[in-house]
Amino acid sequence: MEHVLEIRVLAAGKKPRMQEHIDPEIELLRQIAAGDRDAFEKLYKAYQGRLFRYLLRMVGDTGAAEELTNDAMIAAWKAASTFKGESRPSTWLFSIARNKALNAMRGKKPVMVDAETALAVAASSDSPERSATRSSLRDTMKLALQELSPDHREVMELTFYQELSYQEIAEIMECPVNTVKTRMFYAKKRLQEILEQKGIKEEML
Amino acid sequence: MKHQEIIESLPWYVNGTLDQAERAAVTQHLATGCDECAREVKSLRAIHKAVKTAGDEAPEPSPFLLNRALAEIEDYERTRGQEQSGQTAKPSSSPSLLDRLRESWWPKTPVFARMALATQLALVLVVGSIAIYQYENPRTVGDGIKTLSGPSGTASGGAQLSVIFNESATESEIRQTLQEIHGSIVEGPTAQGLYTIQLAVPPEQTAELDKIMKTLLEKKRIVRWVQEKQ
Repeated sequence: MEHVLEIRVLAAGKKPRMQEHIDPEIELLRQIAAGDRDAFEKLYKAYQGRLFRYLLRMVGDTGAAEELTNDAMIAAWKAASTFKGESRPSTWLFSIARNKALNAMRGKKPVMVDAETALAVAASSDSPERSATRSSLRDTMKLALQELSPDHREVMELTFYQELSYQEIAEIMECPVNTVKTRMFYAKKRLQEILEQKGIKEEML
Repeated sequence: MKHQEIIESLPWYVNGTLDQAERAAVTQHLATGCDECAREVKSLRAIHKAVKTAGDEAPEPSPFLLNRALAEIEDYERTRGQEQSGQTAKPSSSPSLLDRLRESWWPKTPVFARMALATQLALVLVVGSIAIYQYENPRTVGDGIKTLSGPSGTASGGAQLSVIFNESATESEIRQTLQEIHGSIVEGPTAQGLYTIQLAVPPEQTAELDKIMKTLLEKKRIVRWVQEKQ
């Protein structure tokens, strides 16, 4: 048995692993590296929505987010053979998408909400009755999230929408784990300040 | 873990990604009755829910994105194949305007400009093709009677689709696709590679039309873009 294991390990060119099963997404990336279009379709379908929403939150424009989603997935196709399994496929894909977004945003102003939404939400928060309703609370929250700095918004998005661990976020944002935690701490503080300015207190949440 | 460490890890306690040991430490700390952390968990839960809902309400990406990605991959693989075999990069057939445009300046244009241009180009394609078609076939638009059909002869009053096929699609793949939807090419390709497909199904039968659109949409390696012609 030991010999068999050793041969397998040599063949895979990796350290022995305790777990028996291979992550199906790692398997997909291997197939993609070999030029398998069906595998690409599967991975694409699994990540299109998540990457699109992440990118939309970063760049604030549907069309640009769509282009970037495709740019990231095509980059993944081209680079699949370089995936070494050191990070999870999801972390790897988000890193690619993030770099695409940062390149696209280079030299551009941070994303702001459009005036129409801002006015609509401002109008709704004028009246205490309306701001107490669930939908306007949600709108206000959406607007408040948009008002965060890109770094703060990103850590919120990766934690609460994408539900990633702080280790994964650190890998994607290419920073130490402690920076992620501190960033989140300040992001949350800032979000609360913005919400209070809009007439929403912590206990209303 | 100290209070400060605990409070900083609460966002990931709330999103459920802490490892077992960390999670146990947080639970234990909360059980000691730390008010500050309890309040923090409550408000983080509300933020979690709000961010989730806001994200779920975001617009859906276009269903054509995957078709476009697959077409780009085919282009990339074809170019790579040519480079690897040492041939000079020479297109297999005369490239369409879209391809020429894409290959020359598309990759160098910033993504925002690209997307704006893509939207504009798509609009120009649709509006332009309808205008040209109306100009050339004044009687056919509106009542849907087609005058340019091949021998198959489709029913009058049928809906029409504007379709762009992928460059890599073969003639037989396109033929099979058309047979499957009982459609025939009545016009095209335009300089932009746009074809008008005549269907037997009248425009009022929206469910049937949706089915046909879905069939086309699923042929990702053959069909690049499709829209009902108004």
